[in-house]
Amino acid sequence: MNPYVPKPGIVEGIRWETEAVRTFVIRFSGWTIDFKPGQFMQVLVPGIGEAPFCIASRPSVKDRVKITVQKRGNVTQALHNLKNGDAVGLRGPLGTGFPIEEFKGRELVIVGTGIGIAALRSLIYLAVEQPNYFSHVTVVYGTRYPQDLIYAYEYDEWRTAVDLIVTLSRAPPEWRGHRGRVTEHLRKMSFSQDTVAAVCGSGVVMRSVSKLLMEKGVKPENIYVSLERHMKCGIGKCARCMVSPGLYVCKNGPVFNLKQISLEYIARW
Amino acid sequence: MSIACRIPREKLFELVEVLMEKYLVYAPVEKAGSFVLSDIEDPAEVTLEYVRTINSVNSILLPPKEYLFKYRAGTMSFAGKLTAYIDVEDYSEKKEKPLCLFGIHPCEAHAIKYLDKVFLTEPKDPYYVSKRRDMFIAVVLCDKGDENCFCIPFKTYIPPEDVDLAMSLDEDSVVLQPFSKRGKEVISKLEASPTEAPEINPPQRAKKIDISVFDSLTLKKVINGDISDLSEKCVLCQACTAVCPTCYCFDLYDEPDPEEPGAFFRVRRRATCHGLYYSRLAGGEVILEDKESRFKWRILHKFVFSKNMYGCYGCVGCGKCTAFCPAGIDFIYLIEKLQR
Repeated sequence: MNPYVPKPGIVEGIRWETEAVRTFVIRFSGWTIDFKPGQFMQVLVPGIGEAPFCIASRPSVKDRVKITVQKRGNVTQALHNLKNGDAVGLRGPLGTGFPIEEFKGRELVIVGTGIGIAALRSLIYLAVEQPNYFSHVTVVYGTRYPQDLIYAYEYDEWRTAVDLIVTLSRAPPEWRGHRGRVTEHLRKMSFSQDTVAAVCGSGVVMRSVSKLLMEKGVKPENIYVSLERHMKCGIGKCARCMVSPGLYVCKNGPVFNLKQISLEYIARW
Repeated sequence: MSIACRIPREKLFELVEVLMEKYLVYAPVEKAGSFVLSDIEDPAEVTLEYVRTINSVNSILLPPKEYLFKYRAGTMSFAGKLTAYIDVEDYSEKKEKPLCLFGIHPCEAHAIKYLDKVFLTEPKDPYYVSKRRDMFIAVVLCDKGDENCFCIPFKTYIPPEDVDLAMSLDEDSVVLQPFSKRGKEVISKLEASPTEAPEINPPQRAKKIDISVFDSLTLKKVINGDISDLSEKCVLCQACTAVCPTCYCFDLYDEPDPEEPGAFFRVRRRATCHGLYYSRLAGGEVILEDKESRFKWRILHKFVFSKNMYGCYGCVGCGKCTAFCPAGIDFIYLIEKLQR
């Protein structure tokens, strides 16, 4: 098996989440995956190139994958131009994902901002699919404006299993939900020594959220962040995604706890 | 170890001829005033008297540009349902003969050992595997070196045990010491007189520095160190990473096949941390923003990260980064600066 060679998939659903974000459902042509929430796949737009995307699917889904793509560069632009029935290539699942066996029966707090929630959707659906998997789940999701919210059509489904706080940092006057940054809501909460946290967002957000969680008594080894780097090979060879103190985000991550990687290196070299 | 033998200098080409029967031989040759590690057609081209080649072993094992596979993707109707396909023509096995690296210095052979750690860890890199398979390595011991060499602290002037043959140059003869069965076989085809195995000494002109200089490099020390006076001089030509025998970072991208519309090549190209694109994330954020951070990143990768990931240093002390730097930035001075 050549790990660089992608397998075929076909676009079978496209949903416009926001102006710049779309969610794709890609059905695998004659193969399946077993994945853990937090793992990612390299998606190839034929002739354009590959880019890594977190698997946003429900954990039980094996014959297709859901990815949420923000238009940012060549590949994401090309993905946005795809139509239903177009062919793509896929490699993965890659990376380690969240250690969900260790999360079993514990209190989980999921913190996502912006497009970062895509990396956490699978974990949220683990709670939805298996309501007794965790003892309790809180999801704090923040964006700036209401039009930035993604997955808005399924919050009701999430609420059947988790306590969901959707907060806007630049809410318009007519907004009737929560206001402020995610940290403002986390500050009001209390956590036990046994609480585990899953955090994904911009580097600055992951740093400030992690710092706050530690101040509130969550142990560093129980705080998991999902990092973004420029991954090319996805299998620990090309070294483009390396982070201090010497870990490949693609192979050793993209999910790390704060014992593996220290707070200061989340968003810098 | 095993018994060595001696052949006259003018018979060296016979040894190369024997190897060329079975292997695709790469050896140092002189081109336009520089020494280059190149595939050879004529054994007489080979020279063993050189200080350093302008390219390194990684330019063969991990070529600057390499076509990995050709593919064509599309959809078709199958049992009334649309499915996708990707037809792949994989080039990982297209090599005709095994490779031979002839006359490389021991430090370069150590660089191969380091690259092995990266590319032969699971999942193995099939392109590297196929080039490395049955590779014959014949090193030439380095007696002089120059003031840019710093192999002494790493002991990389001593050939690694898994080379096939070590050669050492005398006034008018070459002493051959086989390290493997294949090495013995090759020598048995030559008319050679037995002699004592060559003594392995550090190159005379190499820098005599202590390994503690590298052992004491820590993440904090590198990050907080002030090397701005050196990195200021950098012209971002990226020569240091192009010539370094252990640099392995790469890029993957697609290229259309001009002869077959609709088909694309997946191409691997060596990448350098001294380029802006290297650490650019989606959306344009660049992690290694300035020259100083890129210098430090290279040092971290070679020492701190490599130690953490592979249990060894990613530097063999060949001195190429210093020797080929047009701005005259001395790698050792850089390392010493970080100690202050």
